[in-house]
Amino acid sequence: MNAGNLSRPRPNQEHFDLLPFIAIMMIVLAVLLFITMTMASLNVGAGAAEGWIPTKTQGTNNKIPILVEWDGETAIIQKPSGHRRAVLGKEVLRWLSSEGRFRNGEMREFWNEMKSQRNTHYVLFAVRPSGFRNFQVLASAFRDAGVNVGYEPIEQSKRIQLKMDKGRLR
Amino acid sequence: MRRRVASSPEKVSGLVPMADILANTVGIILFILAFTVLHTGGVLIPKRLPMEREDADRKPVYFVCYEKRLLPLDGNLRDKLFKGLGTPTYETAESWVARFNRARVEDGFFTVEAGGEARFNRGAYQSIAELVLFASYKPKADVGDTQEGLRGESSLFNARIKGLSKDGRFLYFIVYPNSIELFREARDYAESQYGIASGWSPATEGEPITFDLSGNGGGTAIVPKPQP
Repeated sequence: MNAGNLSRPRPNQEHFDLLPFIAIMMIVLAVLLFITMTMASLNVGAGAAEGWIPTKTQGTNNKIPILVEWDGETAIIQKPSGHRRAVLGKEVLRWLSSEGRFRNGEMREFWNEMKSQRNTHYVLFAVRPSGFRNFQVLASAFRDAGVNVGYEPIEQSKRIQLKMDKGRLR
Repeated sequence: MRRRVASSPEKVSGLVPMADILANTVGIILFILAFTVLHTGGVLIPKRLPMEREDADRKPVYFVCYEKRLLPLDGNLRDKLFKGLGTPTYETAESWVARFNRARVEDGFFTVEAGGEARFNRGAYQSIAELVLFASYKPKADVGDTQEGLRGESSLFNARIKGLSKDGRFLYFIVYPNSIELFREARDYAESQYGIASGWSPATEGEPITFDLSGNGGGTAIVPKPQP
């Protein structure tokens, strides 16, 4: 092979045009990006939270639900005036005092409040998988006080809120 | 593969316009993403919010949502634990409970094990033996309907609820933590297709479903036979 021929450019030299391949690659990248962003959008936006709008069906209760998220350790009480956290811990035996009242101040206050409003309100628990184990103990504390309860399972990390018409939120 | 002959270096296209288009496309997608996330912020679901209520007129039909399978639970299976044990007396309570604790029955979906104890209260005037009995249902793996299959005409779920009276029965789901979606699917199907109401209760991962049998078969309290 003559080394002189390699270094000299030839006007009629054949070569591959990379432009179509780059274009295809860009389209593929754009599609992948779009799919990724759609999934992210669903998970960060629409899939991250759930809002419950109560429907009115004949024969169902007319009491106002107060939503309480329960994860087995902490109760997040969603009051119209704002959210309150009551950390009860995992040890069921430590929740209540010997008089049958909650040791945790936030929960005791809520329990008393619900007791006084039991004819008009009820506690709606959103129970996360980690709260399945000890949920019934918590619910029974309200049942025993004559407060109605309802409960619905919810995924571990999904945010939840009630969408009530303002007339019912008092 | 197609080959081209470049007649002159000026005719080779540059990548700058392509990069420009790509950058613009990415920018628009990001804008759409930001708008979507901010605008949606969650799904709104109209639903009837549950509240417990007493309903003595309707009897439960049990189903268990376990490992993403729906298993029909036969409530009568626990009665078979008492088969051949006879009636306990104060004197035989301890041995009766020992035999009861060895009882074990099963069907295609569950293994049911008996458990219990006899608690003696020996008083000055009267002695009693209280029997505390329970049945533990352990679900079997890979049996029952899947979430996709439960709406099918040949599904076990369909077969069980098809003939139920909605005024006389309701469905009671016992739900393990990893089967929430399955429970929702089954509940919605029963409601929309047959108008049957339902309730549910959470079950603890890795633990069997326990039914209290006190008052059933053995009775709660047994007193000694009167002495002659």
